Amino acid sequence: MATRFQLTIAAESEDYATGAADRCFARLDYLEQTLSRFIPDSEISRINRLNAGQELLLERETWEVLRQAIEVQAWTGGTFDVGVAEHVDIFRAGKQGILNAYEVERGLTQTQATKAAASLYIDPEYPRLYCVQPGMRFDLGGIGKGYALDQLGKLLAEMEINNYTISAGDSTLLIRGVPNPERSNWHFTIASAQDKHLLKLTDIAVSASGTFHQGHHIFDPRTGRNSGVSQYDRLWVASPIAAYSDALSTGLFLLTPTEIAKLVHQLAEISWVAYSLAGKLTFVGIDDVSLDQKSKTEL
Amino acid sequence: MRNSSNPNRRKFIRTSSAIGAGLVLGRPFELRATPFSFNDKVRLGVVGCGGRGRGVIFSNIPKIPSAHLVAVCDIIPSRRENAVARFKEEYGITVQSYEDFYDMLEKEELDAIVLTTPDFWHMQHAVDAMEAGLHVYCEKAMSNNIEDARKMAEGMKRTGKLLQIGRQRRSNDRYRFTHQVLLEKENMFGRLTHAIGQWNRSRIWTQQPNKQDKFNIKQLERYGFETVAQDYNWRNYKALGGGVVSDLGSHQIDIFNWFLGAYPHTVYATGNNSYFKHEQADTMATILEYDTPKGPAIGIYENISNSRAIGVYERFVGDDGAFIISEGKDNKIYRESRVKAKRWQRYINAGYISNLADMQKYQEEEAGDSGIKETAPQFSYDIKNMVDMDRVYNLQSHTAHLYNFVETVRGEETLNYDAITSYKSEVCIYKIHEAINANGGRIVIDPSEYEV
Repeated sequence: MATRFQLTIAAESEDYATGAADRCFARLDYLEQTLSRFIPDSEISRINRLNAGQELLLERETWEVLRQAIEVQAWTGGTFDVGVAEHVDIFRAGKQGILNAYEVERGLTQTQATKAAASLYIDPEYPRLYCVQPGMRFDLGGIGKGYALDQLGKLLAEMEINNYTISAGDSTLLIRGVPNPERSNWHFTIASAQDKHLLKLTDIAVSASGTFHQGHHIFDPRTGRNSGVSQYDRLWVASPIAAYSDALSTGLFLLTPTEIAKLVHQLAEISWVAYSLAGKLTFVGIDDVSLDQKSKTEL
Repeated sequence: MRNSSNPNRRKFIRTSSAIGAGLVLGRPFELRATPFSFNDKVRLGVVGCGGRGRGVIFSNIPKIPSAHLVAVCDIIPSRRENAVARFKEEYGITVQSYEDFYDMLEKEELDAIVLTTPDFWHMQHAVDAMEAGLHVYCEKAMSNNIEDARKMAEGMKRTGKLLQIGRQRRSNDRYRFTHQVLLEKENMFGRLTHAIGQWNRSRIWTQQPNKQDKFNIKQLERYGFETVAQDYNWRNYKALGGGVVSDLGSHQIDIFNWFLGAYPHTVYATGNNSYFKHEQADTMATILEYDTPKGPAIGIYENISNSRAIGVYERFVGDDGAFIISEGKDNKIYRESRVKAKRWQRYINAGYISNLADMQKYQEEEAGDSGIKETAPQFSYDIKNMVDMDRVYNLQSHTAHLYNFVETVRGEETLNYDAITSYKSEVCIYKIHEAINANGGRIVIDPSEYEV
């Protein structure tokens, strides 16, 4: 997944925690082997090679994460979209000097049209995908890390480990339990240019998305171009499920504050959202803890 | 890959107005709810519910419509009961569970068994199952000693039953395409002169039991384990496993043998356990000398267990080009500069390979004439369409390998990697292990030693 995962386990013996960490990292290897489009044998690569009329029985993990991706795509009106690998490759080819600016533009136009004609169905009842018409290749970069954290959470639960944090590339964090018996939550800080807030968190996932590291031209899947302009310097999404927080942190970035407020109100999957706008931090939905009884989030 | 054979489905695809639906949740046509409805399904028992066993049960078998899991077997109650419960939850099918292998054989009507147990158990279970009339899929390595491996190959020959060994690269589409099309059909790289392989990992994983796992040491002793640690980490013990060259190297040296079309006549090897101090070596290196049908070749293989930085791959060098192949992200093909681009253009035209990350299709002119701009990346090729081969599984390689076995049981395929082929490949592995245990050495292998 080309990123750094960090696992902190509390209240276990060193031997047991080390053994658990080994199993977690082995699980990450498996997930990467299954979900990375940069590994030609991965299931995502095999989906990306399907021809019209072919179907594929899926790993449960692929099935789950694609279903979650479909949900987030629908919630965000398409600002989150996993079917954009070809676009990403064209941008990369432009940066590498394989394609000139004219060719990049022409390639993006062609790719967007091919994608619009594609039809891929995920069976709702059984892990299976049907390729009625190919034309979109998947890149799970915007949801895979969060999904991986959820999977590690399940593995740790199986090992009866209930107090930990796991971060994926510092952009998604999954938090369970407490750091020690004296504390009822884990402490993290989020900041904008003019504000800083201490978050006290337990049993929740938080993901961040921002322009600080990426520049202000944002890829918008709806147009297939780097036409997106966000109002936010950075945006955080909290959810009981890390796959959703990860994907929504990307998807909400191109939405207006009004659209975000509406989604936070509508979706139980969003515990709260914070964004940095004109240097100030704004929180949405933080008072409404009834959205998720398990999310004991305090400011 | 299962292409549609259902006429209604074909009709749907032809007449559908669903083109342009995007990525959606739903079914484009009506079909069976689960793939477990084949009448001639092969009834399987899986022996061993540890890491690899869980892979077989939950990842491989459910992708094989003609496979039916009937029973699982494991000496640790929580491992087998968790497998039963999870399979019921995920697939709605109740499977039986056993502690004792022979009890399972007696009580269940099985067509075949899958062995995912420690190496030292393979021979007895495989031979007894074949003698009892069952076909066997056995995880590699065949055994932790050459004598038992030989007994398995002989057992297959004697009983006429199928015995496939689990070196899954033999059913990996890209490895098969490289062998069948690029090497055998096209001779794309000329004479292969060198095979270089590495398996680098950060540590030797010592597993801890889950809190729920309960043990009776007397019971473990009955199955050949002196301690709990031996059961969970059997690969670290000489009496139970075949060591690092067997666990990891045998996958890759088998690919050397396959692609070079020969088995080594001489091996030089050394290794030690200086880093982790387990019984088995954690570092090893070997040189293998071959006389291939096209001329002499050298194999160079190493295993490092304290850094995964350089990854896991096999690299082949030939007169006309070189390639890196792996089940991970390291896969590239390179043309020697003395070979004209025009000659390799026919491989591009055939769809076998692409260059420039398959972005050339968007270029206005030929490669290298896309305007004056930044320096383009190094010229290399990737496998593109796996065509002109006997079949493409489009399955994860472990699944494809088991699929090939199950379909062979049904009479639809032949084994991609039977026990006799595996034995030939493993002979040099046991010789390397022998050299490592003797603190290094050179061993000449007589051609007769490869025969079964």
